[in-house]
Amino acid sequence: MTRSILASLAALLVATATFTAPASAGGWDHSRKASSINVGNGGTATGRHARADGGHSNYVAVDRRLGRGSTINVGNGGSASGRGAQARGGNDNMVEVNRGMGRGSTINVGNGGSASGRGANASGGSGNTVIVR
Amino acid sequence: MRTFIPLAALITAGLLSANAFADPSIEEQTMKSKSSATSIASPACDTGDEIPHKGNGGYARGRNARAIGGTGNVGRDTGNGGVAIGANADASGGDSNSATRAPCDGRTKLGNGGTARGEGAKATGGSGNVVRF
Repeated sequence: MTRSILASLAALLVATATFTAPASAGGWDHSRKASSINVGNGGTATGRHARADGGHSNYVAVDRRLGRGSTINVGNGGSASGRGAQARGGNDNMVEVNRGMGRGSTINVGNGGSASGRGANASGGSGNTVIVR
Repeated sequence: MRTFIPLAALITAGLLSANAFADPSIEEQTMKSKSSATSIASPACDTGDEIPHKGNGGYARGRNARAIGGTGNVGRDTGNGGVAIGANADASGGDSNSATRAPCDGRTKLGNGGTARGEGAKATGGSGNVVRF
C-alpha cells in the first residue's frame, strides 16, 4: 500500500514538473542555441566597378541572452570582384546586446568586405557602435 | 500510511498552486491575448510564414536588372536583395525593414544585399533596418 502511494506520488511529481516547465518561444531556446542576425550587409557583386558595400544606420538590440556560437553581422561589406571593385563597410550602425552572448559568439559591424581586382577597395566604415552588457 | 496520504495531498496542493501562480512569459501573454481576440492562436515567435510577400528581391536578368529588397517590411526575413544579372545589375538590400519578434529558428536577416553580376553590378546592404527582440 505504501509503495503504491509512493509510486503514484512520484508519477504526479513528474507530470507536474513537465506541465510547469517554462515554454520557450516556439520551442526555440535562444539562450541555449546559436542565433544568427544579419542586417544591412553587402552581398556578392561581380564585374567591373562592382560594389558590395555595407549599409548604414542599421540598429540591432537583443534583450535576451544568446547561446554559444551566435553571430551578429551588421553593415559589413560583402564580396566584390572586378576592376575597381568596392566592398566598404557601412557607417553609423549600432549593436546592443543587453544580456550577453555565449562562448564563441561573434559581433561584426561596419567591417570592409572582400574586394578583388585592379583598384579594388575594401575599407571599413566609421561611427559604428557595439555595446555588450 | 496515515502519514503518507496527508503528505501527498500537501505536496500536490503546493505544486498545483505554484503552477497556478507562475508568472507567464511575455510570449505566453501575447499568445493568450491574441488568441482571445481572434480565437486563432498565432505562434509566440516569428516563423516568417505569416507575411506572404516578405519584400525580398527576386531574380532579374538583363541590362539594368534590379532585384532590390523592399522597404518598410516587418518580419525576420525581409528586404533582402535577390539575384540580378546584367550590366548595371542591382541586388541591393532594402531600407527601413524591422523585426521585433524573436525568430522561431534563431535566424534573422534584414536588408542584406543579394547577388549581382555584370559591369557596374551593385549588391550593397540596406540602411535604417531595425532588429529588437
